[in-house]
Amino acid sequence: MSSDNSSPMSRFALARRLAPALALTSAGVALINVLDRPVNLSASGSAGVADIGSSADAGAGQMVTGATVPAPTTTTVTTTTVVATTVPPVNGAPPDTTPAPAPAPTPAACGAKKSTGSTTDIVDRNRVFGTLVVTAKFASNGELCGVAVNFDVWDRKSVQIEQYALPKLNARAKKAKSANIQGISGATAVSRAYAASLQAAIDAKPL
Amino acid sequence: MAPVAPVAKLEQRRPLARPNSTNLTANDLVIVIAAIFAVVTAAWAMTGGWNQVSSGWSHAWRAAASLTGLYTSLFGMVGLTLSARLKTMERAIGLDRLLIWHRIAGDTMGLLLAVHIFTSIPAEMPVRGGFINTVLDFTGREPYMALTAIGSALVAVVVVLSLKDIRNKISYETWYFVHLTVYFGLAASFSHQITLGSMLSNDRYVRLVWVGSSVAIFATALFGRWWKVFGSVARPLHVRTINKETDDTVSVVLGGRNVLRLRGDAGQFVMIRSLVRGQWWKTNPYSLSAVPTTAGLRVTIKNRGDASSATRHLRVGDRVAVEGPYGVTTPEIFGDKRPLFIAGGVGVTPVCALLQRLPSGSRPTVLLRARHENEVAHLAEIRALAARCGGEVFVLSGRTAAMKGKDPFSAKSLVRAVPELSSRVALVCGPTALMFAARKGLREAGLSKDDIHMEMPWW
Repeated sequence: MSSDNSSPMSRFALARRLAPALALTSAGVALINVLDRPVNLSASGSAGVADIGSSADAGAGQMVTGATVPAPTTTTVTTTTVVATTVPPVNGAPPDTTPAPAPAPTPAACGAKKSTGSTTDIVDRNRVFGTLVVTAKFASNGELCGVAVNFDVWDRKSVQIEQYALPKLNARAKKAKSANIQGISGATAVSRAYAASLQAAIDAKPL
Repeated sequence: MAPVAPVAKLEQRRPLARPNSTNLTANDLVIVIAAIFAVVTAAWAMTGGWNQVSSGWSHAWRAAASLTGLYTSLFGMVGLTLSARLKTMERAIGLDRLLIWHRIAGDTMGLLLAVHIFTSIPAEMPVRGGFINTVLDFTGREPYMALTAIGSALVAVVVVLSLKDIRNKISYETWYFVHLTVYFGLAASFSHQITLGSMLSNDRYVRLVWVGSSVAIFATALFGRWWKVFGSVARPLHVRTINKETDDTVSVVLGGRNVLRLRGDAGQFVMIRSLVRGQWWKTNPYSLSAVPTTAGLRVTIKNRGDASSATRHLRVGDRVAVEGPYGVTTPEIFGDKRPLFIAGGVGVTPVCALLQRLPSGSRPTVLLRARHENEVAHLAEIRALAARCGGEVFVLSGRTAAMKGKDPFSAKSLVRAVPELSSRVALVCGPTALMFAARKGLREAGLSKDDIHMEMPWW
């Protein structure tokens, strides 16, 4: 008796109970396809590098207010990426928002002597993320007064980390006037490579 | 030796082989799990986690994110392993407790997942340029993070739906199928552990061990769980007889050639899937109500929910897939001590089976709780079996409200009703409220934890 009136229901019973699970799964798969837009690494090479290059120009001006450096920085640029900026890497912040406030006349006091450190691998245990080279600038009295870095990394996350960490490391190095600086959270490998390269640059200071 | 079942008249039967015993205990399992957590925590601490904690907020966020990430994953793996129903683990703690642990592991995983997400965001915010950018990166701009975000969302949905109050509002099977999507969720969110987890992406050997064990556990869970289902369907039993026991209970004997493949004992339960149109995708746990023999397994089924009533539509000859028997409340739990059974409702079924296996001098006491005496299934059989081994049976009938506040399971009333109470081993089965009331009373009456056994096949 009860089996008779429940049979049309039970024909769809399984379908009804499966529906939420299937809906959830297919919604999940669809959303993954919509959301998954990883920034293509080879593409980010041009975008990232261009941005960084220009923001280095922009940031250079700001750094001058600190007292020293920059203008030459861009001239020493190889084909690789350069950062010598204190601007935090605010994504999407157009680089032209901080037009260099005429940093042109580099204070003669700083940069009288320059030395380039070793090209150092940014490496964390077995994994190499890229390389960096520190160029140290010294005042005429031999004191470390400014730092510029060239870096070359191969993935997007590293670009972000470098953009974030290197300006801070530059600032710390300038403040400490030595390679004895505290590392940056989340950028241990860069910090280590930076310190090593900077130490090499200081060791090679021209007399 | 052969059990004497006064009611069932079955031809040339002999008890099935007993389930294998194991030296593994619940404590061993806890120790193994704790050891795995300790190793992972140590690895985390040695690869910089510990130094990060004490060196500023952004370091601490990162350390917390990686540790909770590892723990989330571990609890997922523990939960999967528990649900695989591995034979040794089942023999050690019983399927009911295995699945209770499984639920606890799942809940914990959900909590840790939330912590992991809400520590990862502040940890990465400075590097990724603010909250919005971090969230955008974590939901798709970072490779594999779209998979991870959706996978974690699925895991979160499953965890929330498994909260008792919410789960009780939806049909069991609806919940069950949704809860299976957790396989997809866990698999989808695995890859980011390798690409972003610094500890795992940096060391080749650590990575190898982590990926290897994750894949192994996932495969064990999938095959362990579903191979048993496949086996039970491929080698079904058949309905031999159906007897009406009371107004709303029937006893069903499941037999056939395939019963010889099973191992089981009194006090265990089986998962039953009727291979009938419209029923094949549901399983329900039922206690064996007689010692399982070569003639078949007897289960007693109460007309309760939809699946149970459907089981009443079974006809003699129908095919039934049986998983198990599972459970650890076999006659060995009593040792040399006098048994005490406290049962309510359809919980009498394991009592009936266990009484068949007790030695004649064991003098058990059986307390049955029911609204009315004629609602107790197998009452005559229980009385006969108890009398055979010198025991006694009390039926506490009547509505709880009519007892005028006298709790039948308070320590006082238990001590009065049961001689030598403190030197007994008690088995409690029945509705959850009854089990907890009885356990409380027994504890207060001085029984140790180890002497109180409960079987809760509905977890």
